[in-house]
Formats: sequence, structure tokens, C-alpha cells
Amino acid sequence: MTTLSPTRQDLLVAIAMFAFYLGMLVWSEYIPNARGREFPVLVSGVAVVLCLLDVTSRTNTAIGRAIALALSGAVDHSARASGQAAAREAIAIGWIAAATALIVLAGFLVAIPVYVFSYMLLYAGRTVRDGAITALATTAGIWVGFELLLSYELYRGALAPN
Amino acid sequence: MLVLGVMVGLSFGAIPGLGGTTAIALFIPLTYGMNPQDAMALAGGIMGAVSFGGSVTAILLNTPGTAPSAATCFDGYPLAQQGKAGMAIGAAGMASSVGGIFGVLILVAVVPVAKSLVLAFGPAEFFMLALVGLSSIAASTGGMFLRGLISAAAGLMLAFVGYDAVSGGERFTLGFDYLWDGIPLVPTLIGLFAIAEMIKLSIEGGTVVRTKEFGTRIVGVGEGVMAVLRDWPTVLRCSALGTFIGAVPGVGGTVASFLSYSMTMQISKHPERFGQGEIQGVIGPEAANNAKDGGALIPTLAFGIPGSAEMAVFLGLLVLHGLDPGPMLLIEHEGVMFSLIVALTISCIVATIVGLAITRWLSLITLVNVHILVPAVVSVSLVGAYALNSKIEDVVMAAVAGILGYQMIKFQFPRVTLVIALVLGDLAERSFHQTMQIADNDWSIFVRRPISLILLLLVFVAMGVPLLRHAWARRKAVPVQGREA
Repeated sequence: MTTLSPTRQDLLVAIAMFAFYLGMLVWSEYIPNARGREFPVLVSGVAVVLCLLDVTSRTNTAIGRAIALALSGAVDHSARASGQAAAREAIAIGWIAAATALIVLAGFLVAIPVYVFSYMLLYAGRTVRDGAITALATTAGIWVGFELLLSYELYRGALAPN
Repeated sequence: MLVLGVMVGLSFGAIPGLGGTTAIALFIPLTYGMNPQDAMALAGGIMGAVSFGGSVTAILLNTPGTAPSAATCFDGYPLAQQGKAGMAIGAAGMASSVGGIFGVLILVAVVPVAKSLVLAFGPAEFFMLALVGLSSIAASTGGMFLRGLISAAAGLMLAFVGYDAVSGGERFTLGFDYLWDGIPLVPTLIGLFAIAEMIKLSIEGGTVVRTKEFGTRIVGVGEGVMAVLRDWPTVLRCSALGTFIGAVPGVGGTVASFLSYSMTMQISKHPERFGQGEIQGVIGPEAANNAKDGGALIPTLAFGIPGSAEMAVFLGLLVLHGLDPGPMLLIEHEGVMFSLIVALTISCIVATIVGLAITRWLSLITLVNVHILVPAVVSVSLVGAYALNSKIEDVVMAAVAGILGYQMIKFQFPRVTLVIALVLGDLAERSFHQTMQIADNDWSIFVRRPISLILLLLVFVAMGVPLLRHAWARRKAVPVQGREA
């Protein structure tokens, strides 16, 4: 899989942030009440200028180098250049998204053991025994701490009856 | 009762999403049959210990147990990664103790004359106070000036989300009722710090500790304690700031700890070390975090004005036991108030002793393989995000903030500036509009009121010093590092 160079990634992120704040500026202008509009317009307007400077500072031009020298600071690409595969990163984020979706659907007491066990087995490459012990210990700890001792009723999930 | 309160405070502080408010609220029913002295001892124990409990997980796992403890993450966690968790916890414990005792002493001294102090703060001063905090952002960018400011702008925009009490309309809610109350702070902080760090760890593997220098030995607890004693000016400065901000209703402990972090960084001779494991970055917020309790009790006890949710619940406890807050409280219920003050003081010390005693074992968690740690911490963090308000949307918010936080780490957008702006944004906007309404849009109100003027001068100092320092450092730096040839 072809991955972008860190410098190109930085430039794309800077452009994305510029587009985001430009969108926020337009959105802020549509806030009906003048008082409610003042701060968002001011902040998003300033942010648009800052993002423009950031985009320029990421280009290999004389003005870009001057802005980077004055305002940007040294960029440490080591984290991204050390062979962190984009796929591994996407999977790590995917586990969080999957755990959250499972909690929303099935509730904590079902989702947590399933998430912990499958993470240990499929992502961490641990044994079934390790996965089962960690899943059981985590779920038991949460159940005892929240439901038993604190009488918190943990969310049972959108699929749960009633 | 005091020891029970301390143990409860430490535990509730360490679990993300719970904190002092929940602890006191849950234990109110237990105090029905108690005499007021015992109830005050229990509450004082909880209040004194909860912030240190929150800091332990902030240092060891980058998971702030309470919102104010998030400021401790910035330097506490890098210290843990360097194998110096013991030193960070030692410093946090000692600074918490000194800060807590400082706050209580100020409480005792100030309650009789508190009225004029609290009433001196109007919307103009609140706005300037928020501006002082926001201007400190310039010093908190960790050298990434542009991206620090862009992060801060994101924090401000997030702070504007929800129902706007001044204009009476909703903003940026995307039609979700959930966002009418604004972006919830605790789930967002849990996401930005705990979940983001867990994503990073699960990609990198290994253990939290990144150095093999100390092996499995936990060292430096005494060194951390000594660092606090050596750096007494920082402790006193941040304790005073924490007490002061705690005493101002509606500002809160999160602002106190973040402001003290920024202030410590601005004053430091080595601001570039902050965020990399600078012990002062632990000492400052910890002292302020515990000192704010004494300060927050000033308006609560003197006028019955709770400055925070925790104090509102505590006020309920006072009323439950037939104690009417007001200037006469200290005189009419001297014994009960004495119990509270003693409990607060002793709990700060007991919490530190207990915390330091178990540091050796607690710190071993940083040596556990991250693939065991990650699913457990993610699970507890998501439960913690839910527990505060029992809203499943908070879990989604924590997850989204976690993914955002990871991207911020990856692309070097400082999280500290976003959080400072998020915490202060609403206060700044609301108090600005209130001031303009009071003054009939006359801006001179900001210089006509003495406290406001002093704070305005502080804003100029806070903005000017780091800019000059940054320009000076850039002049000496090697041009454009990190750019690909």
C-alpha cells in the first residue's frame, strides 16, 4: 500500500483544517442572533488566517520557510516515519469504534467481555486463556465496582428488551 | 470516618468519570444517622483525597480520574514513560498536601471577611480572568505556535456548541438535542487523554515505560517529594492561584489547574521542557488542584453560594444536617466547622501518605504489557464517561474525542491549548456579553474597575513574554528542522 510522505500528510492536514475553519466561518455567519454570532465569527475568522499561514508554512517556498521559521516550530516526523503501518493504525482506531458500537447496541456487560476477549485474541495475539482471564477480570471489576458497590445501573444496550 | 472518606476519595478520584461530586452525592444517604461532626469528617476526607486519586491514574496511564487532573497528564505521564512514575507521584502527593493545607488556612483566615472579596468579582473581572487563561495559550504551544493556536481555536469553537444563554439560540448542534448543553467536558477529556493514549499504545506495543534504565524498580518517590520542597515558590504561587480561583464561583478546579500549569510554564526558565516530563508541570497543577477546595468552601460556607457542582452537593449535606450557610456559620456551629477544617487538613496528609505507600505497587502498572492494559483501560474509561450523567451519548463522545486526540498527537496539534480554550471559552463569551450589557457597550469598563485593569495588564504580560521568548529562540534556532529535502 502506498502511503503519503510525512511532509505531504502535514500539508494535507493543514489544507483540511483550513477547509474546516472556512466552513465554520460560513456556518457562523448564519447564526441568526448578532450577539451569538460575534465570538464564533471572530474565532473562526482568525483560525482561517492561522490555517492559511500553516498551509503556506508547509510548502517548500521562501515565504513558507520564513513562516515556518517564525511560527511553526520543528516538526517531529519520527512517529510517522518509524514504519507505523497505516493499516495497523486504522485497525487500532477500528477497535475503539467497534467497542463503542457494541456498547451502544448490546450494553456494557455484554460488550466489554466480547471486546476485551476478541482484542486480546485477534489483535494482541495472546492465548485464549489470557484473553478469557483479562475479559473476565475487567468485566467483574466493572460490575462489582459500579453495579454492586455503587448501585449504578450500567447501560444495557439499544437491543435489550425495555 | 475520616479514613473512610480518604479511601473513598482516592478510589473515586482514580476512576474516570466519578470524582468528588459523585462520591459526596452517593455518600449523603449514609450520613443520615451520623452526627454533623462525623458527616463533615467523611465529606472532608473525600474532598481532600479525590484530586490526588485522580492524579495517580493521570500520571500512570494518561487517564485523568477527574477533569482537573488532566493538567497533570501533560508532564506526569511523560515522567512515567521515562520510568519516573514514582518521582511524579511523590511530587504530586506532596504538592497536593501543601496545596490542600494552604487552601484550608486561607479558608480559615478569609471566611470572616469573604464578602467583599467575592463581591469584587463581576462579569468584567470574570472576562479578564478567562482572557488571562486564554492568553497563556501562547506559552502552552510547546514550540508549535501555529498549530497550538489552531488547536485553541478548535477548543473555543467546541466551547460555543450548544444553547447560548446570552442570545437565547442554539449553535452548531447539528440537530442533536444532546449537544444543547454543550460539549461535555469529562467525556471529552477522557477521550482526548485516555482513549487517545490507548490507541497510540496499541499501535506501538511494549509497555508504558519507554526506558529500560530502571528495570522493574520504582524509584524517585523521595526525589519527587524533595522537588516540591525545593520548588516552594511554585507550590505557594499555584496554591494561592488555586485558592483564589476556587473562591470565585463558577470557575472551578479545572480552570485552576490548567491556569496554574500555564502560569508555571510561563514563569519557568525552561518552558521548552514542559510536556516532556518537567516535574514543575506536575507540582503546579497539583498544588492548585487541592488548594481550590479550601477556596471553593469560602463562598459556600460564607454565603451558601456553591461555586461548583461538588460544592452544591456539599451544600445539600450541610442543609441536611441543619447547618445554614452564612457568615454566622463559623460562630454558631464552631465545633462542626472545626471538624470540617480538621478533616480537610488531615485528609490531604493521609491521602498523600496512603498514596505514597502504595506507589511502589501502583507504578508496576506501567510495566504491564500494553495489550493487556489497553482493553481494560478503554473499557473502564468508556464506563467512566457514561457514569457521570448516565448518557450513552457520552460514551460516543469519549470515543470520538479519543480518535481526534490520537490524530492531534500524530500531527502535533497540542492538546493542552484545545483543552484550555474549551474550559475557558464559555466563561469568556458569557461574561463579555454580560459586561457589555451592564456597561451599555462601553469598553472602558475593563479599565475603570481596578481588578479588571490588573488582570488586563496580566494579559499583556502573558501574551508578550512568550512571543518575545519564541522570537528569541527562533532567532537562535537551526532553520526549518524536520522539513524533507
